[in-house]
Amino acid sequence: MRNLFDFILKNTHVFLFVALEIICMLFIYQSSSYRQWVINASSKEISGPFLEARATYKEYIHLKKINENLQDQNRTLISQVYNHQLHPSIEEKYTDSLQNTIFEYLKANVIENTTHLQNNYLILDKGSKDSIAADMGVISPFGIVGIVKDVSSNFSIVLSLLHNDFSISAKIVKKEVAGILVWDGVNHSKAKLKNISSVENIRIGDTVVVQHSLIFPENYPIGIVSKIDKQARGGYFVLDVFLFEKLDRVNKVWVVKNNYIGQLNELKEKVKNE
Amino acid sequence: MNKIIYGLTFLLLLLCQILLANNISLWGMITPMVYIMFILVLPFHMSKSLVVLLGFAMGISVDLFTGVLGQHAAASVLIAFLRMPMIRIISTQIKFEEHLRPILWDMQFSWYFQYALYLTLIHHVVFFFLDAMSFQNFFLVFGIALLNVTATLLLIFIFQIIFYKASKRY
Repeated sequence: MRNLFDFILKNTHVFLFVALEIICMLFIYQSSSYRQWVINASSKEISGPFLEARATYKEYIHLKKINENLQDQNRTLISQVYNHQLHPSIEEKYTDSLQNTIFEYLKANVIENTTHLQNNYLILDKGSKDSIAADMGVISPFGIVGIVKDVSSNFSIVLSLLHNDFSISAKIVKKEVAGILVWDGVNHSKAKLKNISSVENIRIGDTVVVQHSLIFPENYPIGIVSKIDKQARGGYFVLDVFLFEKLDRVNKVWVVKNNYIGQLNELKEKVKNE
Repeated sequence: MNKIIYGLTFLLLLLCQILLANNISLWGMITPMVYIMFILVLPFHMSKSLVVLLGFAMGISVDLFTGVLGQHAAASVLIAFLRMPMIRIISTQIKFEEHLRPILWDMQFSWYFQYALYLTLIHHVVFFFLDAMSFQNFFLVFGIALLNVTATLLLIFIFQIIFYKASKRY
């Protein structure tokens, strides 16, 4: 017995090491569970203010670039508005005006962002106080950014487009081709569009946009086709998509709030129960 | 006095990591993790348990400022634990004098280079594979880890040269 105690006392650091590693592994492996994300998000209440201060400083340095981006964005929006007034398409003329209020856009700033990992996250400076909730889409002026994973009262964690678990359905503008957009972990400015049934009339440079989705506005731009793999794998083709948004530079984003998500979920539950 | 100095080192390296290094994103691939220098500079004779605990504290503090808790901590605890075995493996011809610390100016360059390189390499490889959670993109992840090792080592050497000087015999 004494020998045992001696052994333990002599090797405290080994036991300590094993115990701490187990704690870390629990933290990491449970990162898919809800409770873990609550811990994760609320831990940002401690670190958030530092990140916010850093973001403010960074924003000041990049003011010129931010202004240029805003100008670009304004230009596109203005041209859209005027073109729309001149030639409203038939579709838009007859759509229900209610449709325009499906999505609400809440502005937020990115205060922490990584791109060098295989599973990247962003942290935003707005949380449940600003009516942000889990599973909302996050977009930037140029493209989509990610999906809100969890929120604390003042901050939220966003699962980046550059994450192995990220996938949304996307389509190619004006061509009846749709697929699933995922990131393969290689290049932070490129994503893959999978499950494409035919590449016959797809050209390099075609624009890829969001297909009908509950969390992103439909037809929101994502990127352009940069490479076409002519070899079909299991009957499907894969395209490379060059992303419009430079995800290593993103700072101003909008969180997309679907005003009908509650109703939709209720319906889904009902169908499931029946 | 020593305690205060190591406490300050802890704080300054943590601030340096979260306010400066985490902002670096070279080609979207390189973000140096210079905070591990804290584990490297702890004195030879410090109790092993304390080193492991401090490694955990440092790792979890950095984790607080990124997406997922536990990744930095797991890798830091590992190198904090492997530090002493590593020192024993490397230092074959060096005599350990009481006043020496594991810093660049106290040791030979080749000794310190190996010491920093091996521990940084272990830390980064473990960290990046903990993040990837698969060997699907093995060479890519390993390549990114190596690039980051280079950046981290560069910063560690710069810090060592600027902020440290040889210990005096007393």
